[in-house]
Amino acid sequence: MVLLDNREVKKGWSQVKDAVAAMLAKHGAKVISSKLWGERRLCYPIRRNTRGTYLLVYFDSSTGAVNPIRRELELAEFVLRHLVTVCEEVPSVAHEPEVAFDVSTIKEEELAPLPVVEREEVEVGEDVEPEAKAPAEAGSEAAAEGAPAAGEEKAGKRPRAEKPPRGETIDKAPKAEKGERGEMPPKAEKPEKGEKAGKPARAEKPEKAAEKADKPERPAGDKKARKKEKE
Amino acid sequence: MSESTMQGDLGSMRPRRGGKFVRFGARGRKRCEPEEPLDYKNLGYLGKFVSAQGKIQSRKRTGFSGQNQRKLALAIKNARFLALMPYVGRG
Repeated sequence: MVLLDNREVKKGWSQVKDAVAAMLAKHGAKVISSKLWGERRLCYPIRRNTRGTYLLVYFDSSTGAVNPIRRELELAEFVLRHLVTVCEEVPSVAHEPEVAFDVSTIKEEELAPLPVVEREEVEVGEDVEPEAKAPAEAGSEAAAEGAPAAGEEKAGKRPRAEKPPRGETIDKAPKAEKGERGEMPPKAEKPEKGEKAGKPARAEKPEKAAEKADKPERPAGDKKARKKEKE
Repeated sequence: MSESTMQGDLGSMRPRRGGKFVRFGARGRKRCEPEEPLDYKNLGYLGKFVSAQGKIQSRKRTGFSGQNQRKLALAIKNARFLALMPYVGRG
């Protein structure tokens, strides 16, 4: 059973019927009968349609072709609803000739309004998009320009926070800890346990860890010296 | 309370079959077979099994077997999907 849009039906009943039959035939289904079931008022509006035309089709197809057929019907704009069910036996009524359907009985007033609003939305969207993009691009450019400038300004002051990206620090931090734990303890723990055990655990960087491994003497002193140089 | 006294009490009350407590039980249920095919296109017949609010009547009211009740429910739901029957109220 297929529920069809009356606006399309009014253009030509046979054309719509053929279109549905073509969809079925496209996926290897054999149409046994295709008949008008009725033109009636819908119990609830669908896409602003208060009335619709029902087409009842009996067809024979493999199970694998049913889902493609459903998808095809789903994508067709003139199909409001469709229902594919298993029919054990085709009733004899299906083979009777179709009742003549006068398309002119469909009233123009009862048709769904044309989607004028959607067009306006599209136009508005097109107008808005470039504006939206422009500031975004400008912002991104400004950010791109500003970032290195800020980086240059701050380069002398705070090189640690900017140079290494976050991912690297996160990835390499545990490795540095492991390396320090494995290498440092005999040298670092002996002179000052309270301070040196706490400090390297907070800010470990692989480079520093390597430096520390090479120069284990006075890591705190090195930091202070660096800070002074930067200032 | 012993068994003999219970029987005596019940005997004096004249036990009613299909009384207050067994009205909706297996014994008191009215069983029905569908008179027409339970198909989503058979709207006139399906409309009999829907309340004024559009709700599907229970087995207790329809008297259908489990199998037929499931067929009825599916038919009504399919009809609702195709906007042949309302989800709520009398369409």
